Amino acid sequence: MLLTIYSCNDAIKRLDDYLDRELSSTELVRVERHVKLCQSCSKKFKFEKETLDGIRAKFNRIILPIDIYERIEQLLELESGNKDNH
Amino acid sequence: MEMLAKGSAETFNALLEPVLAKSYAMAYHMSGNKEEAEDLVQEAALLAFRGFGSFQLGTNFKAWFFRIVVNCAHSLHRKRQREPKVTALEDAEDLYLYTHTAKEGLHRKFDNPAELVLDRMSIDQIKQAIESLPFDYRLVCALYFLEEISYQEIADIIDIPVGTVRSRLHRGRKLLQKSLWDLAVENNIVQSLKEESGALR
Repeated sequence: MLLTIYSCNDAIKRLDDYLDRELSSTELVRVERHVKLCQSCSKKFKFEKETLDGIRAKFNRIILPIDIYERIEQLLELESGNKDNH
Repeated sequence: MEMLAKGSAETFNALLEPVLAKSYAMAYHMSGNKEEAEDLVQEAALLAFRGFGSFQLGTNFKAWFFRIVVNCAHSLHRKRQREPKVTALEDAEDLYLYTHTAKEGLHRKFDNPAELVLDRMSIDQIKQAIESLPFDYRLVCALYFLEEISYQEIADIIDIPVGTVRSRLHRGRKLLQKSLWDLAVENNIVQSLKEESGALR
């Protein structure tokens, strides 16, 4: 039944899949309904979302060394040259 | 080996350039240091260039190249066989950061304690946290945190079943949260937030 309301445990068990948009449409509706009604779970879902976003932001703050593209180009030119010589 | 036509080499370079930064970041998180990340990306670029003839234009170059980076990371890992000390998987409970930030009273004064803790952590500390994960978990987490991609796409890149991606990701996140929290405690980030929280009262 689509109108089934999840318990806190049911909702928390699905938290990761919810944040990753991996729930079925029925589960999604049930989780959202629970979170709307339950302040404690709503806080936890918000916290987890912020945690994921925070980690993701840090993960992406890795700077590509400026000369790496040139080094790769040189490597590939060398490889092309080697091929030409064969 | 079949020679790449000049046009193909140009096409290859044009496809490679936009995915290089993400590939490097992924290699960095997988290997744990800059030098190895550079080597991994260069090796992957060379292998991809050699195998470019098998790439179907119009399909997803990024996923194709990521797969090569992952394979290179696997080979490197097998060569060095240096598995980090692994936290017992059952050690990390659900909602680890939530529970611990709440226990330390950080929810009372701060709207967004997770963001505050993470903001004060350096890139090196984040790197340390991901390095504490077993290699297989590290691969999945590196892809997951760098790209907003589905479990199925991660499964296709690493060539493992989607159920394995799900379980590694769920457990990997818990372990990562535990590791981040431990580092935040060790580096006095939690203590200073607690003091600020007290000062705000």
